[in-house]
Amino acid sequence: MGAAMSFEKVGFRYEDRMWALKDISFQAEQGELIGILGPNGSGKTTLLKLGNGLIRPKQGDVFLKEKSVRSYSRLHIAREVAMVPQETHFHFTFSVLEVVLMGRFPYLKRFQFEGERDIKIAQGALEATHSIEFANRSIHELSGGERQRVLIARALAQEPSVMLLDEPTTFLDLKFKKEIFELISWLVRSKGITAIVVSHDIELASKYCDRIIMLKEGQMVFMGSPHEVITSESIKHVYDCAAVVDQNPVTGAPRVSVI
Amino acid sequence: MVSLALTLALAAAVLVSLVCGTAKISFMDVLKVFSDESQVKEATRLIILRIRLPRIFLAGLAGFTLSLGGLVFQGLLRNPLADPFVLGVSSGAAFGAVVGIILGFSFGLGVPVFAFLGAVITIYLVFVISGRGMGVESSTAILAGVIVNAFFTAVIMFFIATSSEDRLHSMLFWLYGDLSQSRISYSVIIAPVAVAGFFLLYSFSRHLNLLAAGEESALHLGVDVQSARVVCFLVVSLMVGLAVSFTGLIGFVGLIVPHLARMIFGSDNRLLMPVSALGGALFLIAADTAARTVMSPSELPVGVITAFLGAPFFIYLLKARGSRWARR
Repeated sequence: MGAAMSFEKVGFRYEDRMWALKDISFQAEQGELIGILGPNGSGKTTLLKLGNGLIRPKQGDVFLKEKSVRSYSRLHIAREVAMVPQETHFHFTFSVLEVVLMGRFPYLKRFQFEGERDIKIAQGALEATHSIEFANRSIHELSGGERQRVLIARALAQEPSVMLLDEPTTFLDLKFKKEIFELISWLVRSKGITAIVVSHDIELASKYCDRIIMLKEGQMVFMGSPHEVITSESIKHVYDCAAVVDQNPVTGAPRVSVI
Repeated sequence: MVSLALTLALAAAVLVSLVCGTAKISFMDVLKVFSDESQVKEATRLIILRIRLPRIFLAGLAGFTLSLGGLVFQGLLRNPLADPFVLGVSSGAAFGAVVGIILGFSFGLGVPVFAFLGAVITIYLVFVISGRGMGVESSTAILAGVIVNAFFTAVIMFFIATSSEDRLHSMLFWLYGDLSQSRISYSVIIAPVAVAGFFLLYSFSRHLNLLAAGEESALHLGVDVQSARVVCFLVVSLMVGLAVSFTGLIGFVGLIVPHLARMIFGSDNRLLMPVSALGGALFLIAADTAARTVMSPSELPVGVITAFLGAPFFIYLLKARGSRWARR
């Protein structure tokens, strides 16, 4: 079991501004679910962008299956790394199946149409995300939670080894938040995908993630199992917010109560 | 399938258009011109082959490039208002062409080169004005286009105002799209560019689909957004610049046809590209046929017809769909 994605002493800044990320090192193992927590502006999204090569590190390097991300082409990265954004707005009307088939883009040649195999993969992705019943609906008719599931399906259709999710639950209500985390967790366990989830939902993240990384001002301040990382001290340090952390009586996951 | 049907419709339109006109020529005579030349009068033969056919070809090619250009711009900028006319490419090309005419170049080769340069310079200007690091802000691009458009139109009006009397009339006509001076050689120049341009753009049709969810989202899926954008903008500028240099400014084709196509066939650019291109050809041939018959024996500029049909159609679209534009 090698590392699916690893960061080695990665630093990044936009032009000559302050370092957005400094000295980030960690390894995401295959089939691991990692949660990235931290306040706004702590560099969480920048970290994901480095992960799929949208921006290049100014220091250190990011490795994908032990090879530097720099050595991959855009198309090649898209076969290994899939990204699920916070919210996606489609400017033209596509059916849900069409949207998921877009995930096959990195595998198709210039004039090639999607074949039977691609459609099968897309349908499989829709089934895995429990959204097969929307297949022929327009993407604009779906609720926020449904749409997010479809975008995870699109990411699955890329057949990636790593899935990066940028606050996928931000605009969702409690039930859908839980559903999305359950889905991600299930995908990681059943398909061996590595997932890195940026989130503001501390409790959900710590319930489902194997490991939690906490960022503050571009630096990794804590890394470890949810129980190790989520403490009243760490919350105070990272979010500058007093909180009591105890255990959820049912799930045993850390429970954060702001005081 | 759809493309085949449209091609047939196009052929039918060409025939009907050949029959219509100031001089009364029957359908049978038109057929005879192509089958058995000896049976028709020389005058009829000349009207069909030298006047009507070149004009129909030119109208078809102009419609083809303009609506394909509109479709591609709308996709690239994710904005329903984008088309070669709105983005200033048409008027930039027109400006280049006018400069070429004033400098005394002929229509054969010189003017199209100027028109192309005008189109490319315009698209570059729009890019620079609206550029912002990695991406192009789409509403800023539209605004930049409107401004560049206004500027070039003013410059063209200046040239018209200062040019001699009889050139004035023909140039005014040209500003609203003038197909009356068509020669078959024009179409021979445009056709290969239009066809090559179509296939090049078609090879980016899936890229355009992915761009519908934004540039970053397309990057995630492996699209080289930067090069797709540059190639598409350049190809459209070339095609449109060339067509406009022969036909003058014809508005609305690049807006109406792609939107109609979307209403009927959805948003997949792989289907929309052939449909819009052929539909555009069909539309402009029909519009030009109307332009030369409704006021017969005098003629209207074809741009008058397209705007006359286009504006109400657009208001209807706007009202019927409100702000939900391209969503359905």
